[in-house]
Amino acid sequence: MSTADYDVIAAEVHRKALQNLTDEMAITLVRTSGSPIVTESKDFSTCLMDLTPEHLGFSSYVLFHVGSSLIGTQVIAELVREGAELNPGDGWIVNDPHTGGAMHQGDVSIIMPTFYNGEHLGWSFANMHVLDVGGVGISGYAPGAHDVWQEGMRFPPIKIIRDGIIDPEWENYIAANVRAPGAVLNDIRSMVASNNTATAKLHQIIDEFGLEAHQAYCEINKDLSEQVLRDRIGKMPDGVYEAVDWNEFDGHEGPDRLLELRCSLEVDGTDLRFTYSGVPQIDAFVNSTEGPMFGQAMTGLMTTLVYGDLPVNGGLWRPITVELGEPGTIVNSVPPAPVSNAHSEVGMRACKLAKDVICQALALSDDPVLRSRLAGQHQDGFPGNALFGTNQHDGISVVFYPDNAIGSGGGGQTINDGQDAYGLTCTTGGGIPDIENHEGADPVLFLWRRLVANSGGPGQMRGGQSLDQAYAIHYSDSMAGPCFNACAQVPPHGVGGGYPGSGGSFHPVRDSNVGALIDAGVLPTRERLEGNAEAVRSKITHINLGRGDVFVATSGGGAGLGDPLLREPSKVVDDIIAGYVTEEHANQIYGVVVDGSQALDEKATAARREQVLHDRIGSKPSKEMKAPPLIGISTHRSDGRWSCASCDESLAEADGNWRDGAVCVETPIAERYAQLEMIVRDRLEEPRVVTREHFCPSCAASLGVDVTTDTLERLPSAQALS
Amino acid sequence: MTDTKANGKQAFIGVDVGGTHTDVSVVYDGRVERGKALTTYDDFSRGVLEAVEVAAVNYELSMDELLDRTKLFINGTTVVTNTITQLRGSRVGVLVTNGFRDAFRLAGGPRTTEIDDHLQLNVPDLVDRRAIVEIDERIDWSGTVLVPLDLEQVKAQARYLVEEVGVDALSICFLWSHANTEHELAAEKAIKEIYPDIFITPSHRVFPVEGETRRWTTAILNSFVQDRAEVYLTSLNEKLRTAGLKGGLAFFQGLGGGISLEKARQYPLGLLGSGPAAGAIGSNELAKRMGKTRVLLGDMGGTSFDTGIVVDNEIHIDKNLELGPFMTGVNIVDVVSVGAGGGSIGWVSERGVPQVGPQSAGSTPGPAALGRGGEEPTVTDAMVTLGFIDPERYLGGRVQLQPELSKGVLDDTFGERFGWSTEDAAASMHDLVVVNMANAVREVSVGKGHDPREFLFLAYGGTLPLFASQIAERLGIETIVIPQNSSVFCALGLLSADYVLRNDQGVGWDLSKPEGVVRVNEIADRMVEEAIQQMETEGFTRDQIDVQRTADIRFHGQAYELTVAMPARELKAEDAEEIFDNFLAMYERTYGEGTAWKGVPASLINYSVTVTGQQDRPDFGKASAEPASSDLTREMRRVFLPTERRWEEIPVIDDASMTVGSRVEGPAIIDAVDTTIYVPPGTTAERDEYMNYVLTR
Repeated sequence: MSTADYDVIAAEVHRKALQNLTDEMAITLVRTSGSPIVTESKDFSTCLMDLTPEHLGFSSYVLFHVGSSLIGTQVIAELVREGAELNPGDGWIVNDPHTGGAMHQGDVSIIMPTFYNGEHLGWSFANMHVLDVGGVGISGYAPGAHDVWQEGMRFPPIKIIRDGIIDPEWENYIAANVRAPGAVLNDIRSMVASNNTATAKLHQIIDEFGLEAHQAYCEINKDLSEQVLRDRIGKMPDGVYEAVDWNEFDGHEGPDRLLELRCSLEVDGTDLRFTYSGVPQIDAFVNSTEGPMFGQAMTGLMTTLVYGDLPVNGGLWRPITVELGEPGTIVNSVPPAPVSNAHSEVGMRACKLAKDVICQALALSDDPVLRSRLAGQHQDGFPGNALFGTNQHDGISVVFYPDNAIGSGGGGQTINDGQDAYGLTCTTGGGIPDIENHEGADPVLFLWRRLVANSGGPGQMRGGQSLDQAYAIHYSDSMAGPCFNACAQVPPHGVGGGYPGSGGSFHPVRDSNVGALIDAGVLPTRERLEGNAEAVRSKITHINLGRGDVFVATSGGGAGLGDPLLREPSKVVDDIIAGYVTEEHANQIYGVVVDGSQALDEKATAARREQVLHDRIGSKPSKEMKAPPLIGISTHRSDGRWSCASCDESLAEADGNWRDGAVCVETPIAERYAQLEMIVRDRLEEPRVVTREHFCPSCAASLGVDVTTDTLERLPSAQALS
Repeated sequence: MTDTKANGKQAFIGVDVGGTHTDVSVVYDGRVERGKALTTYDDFSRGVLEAVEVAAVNYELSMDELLDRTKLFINGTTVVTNTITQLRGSRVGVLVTNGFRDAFRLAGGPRTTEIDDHLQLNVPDLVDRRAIVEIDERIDWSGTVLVPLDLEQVKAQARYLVEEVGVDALSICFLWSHANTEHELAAEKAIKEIYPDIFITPSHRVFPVEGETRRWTTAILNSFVQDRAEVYLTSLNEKLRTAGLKGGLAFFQGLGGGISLEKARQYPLGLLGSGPAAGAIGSNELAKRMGKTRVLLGDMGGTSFDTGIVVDNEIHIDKNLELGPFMTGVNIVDVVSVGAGGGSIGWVSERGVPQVGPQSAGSTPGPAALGRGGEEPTVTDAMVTLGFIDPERYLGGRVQLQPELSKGVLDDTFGERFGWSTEDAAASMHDLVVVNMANAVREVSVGKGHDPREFLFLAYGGTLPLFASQIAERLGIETIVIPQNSSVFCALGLLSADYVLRNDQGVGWDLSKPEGVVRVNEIADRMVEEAIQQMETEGFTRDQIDVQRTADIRFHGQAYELTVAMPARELKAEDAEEIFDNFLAMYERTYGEGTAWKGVPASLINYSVTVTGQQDRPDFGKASAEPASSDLTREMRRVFLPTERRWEEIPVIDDASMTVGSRVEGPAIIDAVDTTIYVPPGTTAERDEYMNYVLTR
């Protein structure tokens, strides 16, 4: 396409108009809902699609809804092709991951057609996390469910809206099935209002540009986005890149399972083919389906490859295919598989896997901008809990949901350390509610909210730090609800020789001394807190907390980028002073030593760094370790071989695995993390989780630190396209 | 032109210290004169005095003589804004409730809505981590002391901060201090006993409202800007007094009103964002004089376009300013700024699509036409090429432009690549910058639930009058007003300012429990009494003081409040029901019918008192119609009409020849000092009795 063939300015003005449209849909949703899930946590999404259906514009709040919107609309478009009646003002409700592309049942979509002068032009989509969808869980989270029917209402696409009005019979049905009927129906109405905004604004845009030009510009702008992404993909070397990760599930009274899943990426010219595989589906809420898999793969891709001048629209998906293999696995589950945390369990692992394989390809690119995009993994998992009970204001029933997701750390970037409290990869724009907001409404007293020392994965660029909060049940006799933690045992791994971040965890402290301390006029602090710290599983259907019990929730950190020994000692010292890393951690992994007043001891640091290098390979390095030319790129593949980017030592043939030529130190992760004063949950059942640190045999540079199981022989390395 | 009886021989001076220029507007002897000087960063007062001198010359007075006759000198400054954006402020020490020192790093959640991971940065440290100390004390939601304050610990830690860390100012940040001020006040007193001169901001004093992130951040920022603000305030005061100023000196706040030197010293953070606020105040005052109530306003400078909204003659106040990554409790006139100005650069993006801004060529190298080495086309270059800017008369003829340089960079950037003529390229840049500005106006109107078609568009600044009609057309706005002295309108706006103080106080009254009204009344009475007292110490008499009361209300469990007016009297228990009903009605008006939460109680979260001291102000008066000469055309100029995409000879009219009632049919150009107004085909421009140009389609 030549830009001389059309009015390039008008096409750009039109694109901005469509972006305004999806933004105004979001404004309508925020204004009419009033639900804190929308206004504060920003857990919603809006977009506009054409007849194909392809995205024409997308408001970036929760990114993975590119998946639910695309697949949900495809299903409805198919129903219409098969003869379902379609009129202006019709609307479908969708929340079923199995049949409608939904992320999990708590995320409800309303999808409506757009018309212009009687002609069907496409679809608009609004989605939000509603307060409740019934079932054994709450707010759509049911760690205790054994099948999808226990998880609450399922809506495959069902037309419950005609002429913009929810069918009163369906209203009655929904009201009878959820815990907060007024709020849930209000949420649905606000999504209808958001879709109405789309129709009204689309009319204005087509009136201005004309129908023919509107349709032409839609195509042009999709083509332009597609072309930029293809140009970027074209600079990633052809090949096959593979990664492995594990979903954790220890609920249902055990066993404590690690569920393996893999992603293989074929880069072929300007096309990307992601192929996921996984173990057979299980009877717990972790299983995923097409919507969460596509949405989470695209979330990993977008945060890495969508930068600068690249508007999000359907053109971006054209170079990409996502294959899920045979049905019946955790990545492609079928009923009766429960799926109420599909997006946050297997889904978030899928996001990390997509980013993992993309980063492997970026590391081998010749393009400096693309190489700068690789990064340590984000935490992508969180110790969630929601508690229900009565508060201090006349015993009103409340939901207390301290949003620990937002406390997860981000991965180290080539341009800066990872972001502290980055949240999940998909949650752009999320915020942390104030302690005073919680204490004003809920029967709790916060004891602390702090950053977790050593939680950011060590690296030249340190991973982002995570959040630790503790609260006592102080104004109520009892609070209860589900707890679920997705990333406790297998933390996110680093890139380019960087180290993994810390894991998340939670535990109650029963019968604490909080009340006694307060009675004595003493502030309960972390150091003074006493009581029965109870080890609990990561997936709890129902936890009961009584007056004086304390709950401690610790989110995990982001992973590091690049060899920690390449981090400037002065930056490590700053981190010690700030309380971000402990002196022991700095000594062990960064080889940095400070004196009694926390000033850098240069001599001791030089000696310690030499010792660390020696310890890595068990002997004095034969070559000097130099900083590789690019941050986060520890190995090269050129001249028919893999080599160390620091000293150019050969590691393996180009078609082999670079790990073969590296010194590998395998340590049970709990043991390694204990040395580093980092948090991870130890597994008491097989297989064990281990770190495998790979070092250059000549210069002892850190080439790559894998987080894997002791039974997996080794992680795969990039291969040529067959 | 004006009726000068009221303030005949007394001058009013407004000075806006901007990023590049220091603008002065003087009203004296029945007319407005302007002064301009470069902003002098080493000592701002020098540029201020230079600009005043320029204005004085226009009255054939010396600066001393003008200052001697000045009744009120009002100053708006970017000092506080710059201190924060450059992160170069005081070395602040913080005392915070034990367990919560990381609140400043978390800052309410650092993640932005951008997709790109490279745009997710950590929140910069306003305070050295070593200068944050934790104090044992705890107050709960009800204001009850759970754990008493350890005063010995406070003193020891203050000594550590001052002696060992070397801080210049302190902030005290305790949980629930708005509900019970006892601990913050006791800590302040204890520290003052050791260090009587140190500047201390207890968080409840600057923002006594629930939500520790905003309250604490506000307290830290106030201490952070204190040192540089103090230097500025003191220097300006001394220099002006030495130069002969005998009248009042007031400092303009981002809230849209003045405060005295003393108040500014205590709450320097209030000076944040005063420049754009002055433009909004001036817009509203002009609208009131014209009998208009709904205004969208716009100001285009060299690097950015600012826009805001006035509804029913109320300027929209952003109650909780977000300043980059910092969430604050600062109340400020709500102005949206985008990177669209005369210096905005045209470029071709990775998709091969032409773009304009947000990067700007600034003043160095500036537009290519300046001949200072600019190699990228700017909006100014585009308008020179189209014939709208007369190369001989740029900036009042002070700078000679070279149009061939503009053409060269336009051809280089766009011509060959898109097969465009030079004027096509220039017209494309024109269209894109218009769309970017129109989108910003859309954000402040549609984004707040208003239809821009119901507003008039008040456009000021030196550059905007070239684009105002085209922006209005994109938004369906029918009437555009371009004020006289458009290029120094912000400085003029300062002269319309009253003294304003505002206090917000968290009260947390559950409206389903009417008996809670007693406490609300106690708080409200105290707030009103204090506010009036403060205004009286500023020298206002009771009849010059206006008190407005409002309250923020939300449903239990919601995050955002709606603000409703409160009666100017003691509340009774029976009022709870009516307040709740009013809230419901407002909720549905704001968010749509049927959206109110059924069966959910609401709480009155904050009580706010805004007290205004009516300031003497110059009488701008009205001009009377004078017979205009029949032929207003100074010359004919060949311009490329961007909307019509063709060259045409159109009349150029001298601003000076346009008297009240003069009308011009587009296409035409009206040429004023520092400002060029474009009247497109199908549009009529008429000079009204306030000497504004009113453009209608």
